[in-house]
Amino acid sequence: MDVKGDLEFRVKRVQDAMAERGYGGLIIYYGAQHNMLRTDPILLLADLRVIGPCALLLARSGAPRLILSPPWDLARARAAVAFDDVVAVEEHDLAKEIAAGAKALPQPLAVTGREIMPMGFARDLYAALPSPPEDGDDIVRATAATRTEVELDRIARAAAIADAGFETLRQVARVGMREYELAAEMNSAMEALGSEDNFGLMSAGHHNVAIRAVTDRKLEEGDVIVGEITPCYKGYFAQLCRTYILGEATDLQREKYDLLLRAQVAGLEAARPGRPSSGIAAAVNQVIGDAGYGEYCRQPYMRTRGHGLGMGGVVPYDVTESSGPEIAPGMTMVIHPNQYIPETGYMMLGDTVVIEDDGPRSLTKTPRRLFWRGN
Amino acid sequence: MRTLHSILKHGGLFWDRELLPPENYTARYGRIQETMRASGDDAWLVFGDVARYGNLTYLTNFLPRVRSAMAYLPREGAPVLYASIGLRDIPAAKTLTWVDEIRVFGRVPASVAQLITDEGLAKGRIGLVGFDETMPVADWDAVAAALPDVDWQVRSGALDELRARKDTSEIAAMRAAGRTALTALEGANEALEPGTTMRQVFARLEGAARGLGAEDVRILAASGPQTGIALGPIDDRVLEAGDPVMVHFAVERQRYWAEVGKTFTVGGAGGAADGLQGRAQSVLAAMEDAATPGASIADLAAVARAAIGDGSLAEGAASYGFAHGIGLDAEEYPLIASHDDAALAPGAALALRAVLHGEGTGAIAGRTVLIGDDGLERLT
Repeated sequence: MDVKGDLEFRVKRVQDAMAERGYGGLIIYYGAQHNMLRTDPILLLADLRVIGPCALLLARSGAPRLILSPPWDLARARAAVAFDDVVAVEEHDLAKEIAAGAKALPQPLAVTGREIMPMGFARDLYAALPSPPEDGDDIVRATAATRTEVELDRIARAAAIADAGFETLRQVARVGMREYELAAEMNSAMEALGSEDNFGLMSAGHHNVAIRAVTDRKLEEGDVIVGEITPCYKGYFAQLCRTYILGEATDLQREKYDLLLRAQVAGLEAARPGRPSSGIAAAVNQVIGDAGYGEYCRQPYMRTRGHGLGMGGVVPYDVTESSGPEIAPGMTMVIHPNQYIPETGYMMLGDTVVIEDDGPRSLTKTPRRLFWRGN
Repeated sequence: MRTLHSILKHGGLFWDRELLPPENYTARYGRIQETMRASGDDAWLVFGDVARYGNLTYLTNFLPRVRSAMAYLPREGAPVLYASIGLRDIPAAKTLTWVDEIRVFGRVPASVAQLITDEGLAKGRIGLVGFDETMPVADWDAVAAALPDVDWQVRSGALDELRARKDTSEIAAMRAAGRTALTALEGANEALEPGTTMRQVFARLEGAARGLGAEDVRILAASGPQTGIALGPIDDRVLEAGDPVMVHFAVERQRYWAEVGKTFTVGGAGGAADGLQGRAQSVLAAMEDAATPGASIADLAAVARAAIGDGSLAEGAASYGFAHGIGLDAEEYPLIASHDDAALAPGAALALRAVLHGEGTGAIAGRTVLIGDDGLERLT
């Protein structure tokens, strides 16, 4: 796969957006807080996961310049990126160095990353610039609403790792095991397959009220284990949500899980190019509401019906009945009708999909059904 | 310790109330309220995010798993905790803190402005803790614009001083974190086999730490020729017999961190790193000897440089930092980056390390120590 060409395409998308907005130069700040909720602009445009705070300086044309910290990471950075201009400074010199580099960019300047830039750092940076740059807001993230071929390949790999993580859960979950021990086994299995991260949530109990972080609770016979498994491969996330009964599923649990299955089918059917993303949530809520649980289609009984997913939270962001973005081919998202149901507690079902011309294609491959011990 | 690991926690997140009793936090809150009365502050706001939350956790035991959290501490009365979570997350959040009232952040600036206005402090004097380091400037600008008449006072230093001297329960928590790190690393010699990849080895070691209850694990490492260049994230290199492997391993358990640095040889045989490893060990020993009450971080750095001798080796080691405070944050006051000359007090917990790269190989020696009146205690 042509990673270099793919990266040049991504940079060009941002440069085109700069031209549209009238920016001569752009300071792309990133604080190196890697997580599922935020797009990493350095990884997006330079294919490097940085260790410390940094900035990418970009003119309307030409290759970027990367200023990173700490200095001992410079050799790795230079080996990883496809352009030549990479320098490293101590973190306490970063604002000054970015300002010096920014002065050499064509004007006017804009900055992106103010929503994560610590106010102390911003004070130092702005003091070193001749005039405050414009707020570039979400210019980078907005250009990355759809996935390139390289990105999609990585998300597919992450999805396969998520499938393996759930399979590990099925294999190792046992009565008496602590929740964090089970999570550790899953995490370890996924890391060995290349996962760099896992935004993992997992709850167990006879009647879960929601998904949460794992605790020291010991698993019990008949526990309903709900898992939101979100590994990351080369910076790109995929998510799988499933429910596993540590015992035999009851008829009631199977019946209510069928409701989630039908709701997901409706959500997937609504996830077509040209339609509003709010339609996915409306379709899911319709099925659940028709079953008599309309009053539970709100917080705290559920959160969203899905969200954009790839490199951090991406377009269409949270999928709710009020979400706005239109669905487009190349978007990746998770669609999950996760729901609290009074008779069974919280249950989960969700898959990562890529939107294609004729609808969504699932990247996670774990069968869509309720799992229990022995089935 | 800076790594590129996620700062979203996915290990066991629970509150061991025997280890960290709720009374500790109410006592700390009482001291903070006394400080407010003395300084004339009406209230403090303590802000933290998922990367730096030590100030917030010191007072509430709460740890933000995503985005940010903030404690409102009035001069009189009970505190309020704000967190960037959903309504469904409140029951789980309540298990982590003694603070009774937890509110959900909407947009951070709007929530802060509403709170201060509702409390009648729109013209008050309010202390800020952790804002410079963690509050996003876009949010702060909106807060400041919405509350133009508040007299804001930076108060982070007051908590730095308190946190720099660990109390009995904090020391117990750090000992537990240290034991977790060392127990997990016990499997390293067995895991570091020729033919395995670095990723396979460290998946196993990290899994071991998480299986022991670690909330978070951070690893920097290097193997083979890479040891002569720099530490870095885990890669897919296949290990060969005799390879040196540098491991910088940090574990967080019950909110407290401990770290250790070790050099291994694949297959157990002596390798080219042995000489450098001896040197790294002697640098660490020199810093341990110098880590006494009254010494400063700057003193420790000077001792380390002198013990290394060679100029380029010393410069390389200095770029990683020789020492800094450790506790609720993986790096906390006193920080090497600040070139702090403040004297270390009994009860200070430090991460000490010597990272050497030279002549195509490398070595690391590091541990977490506690400075006591009667000498130094190794926590790892």
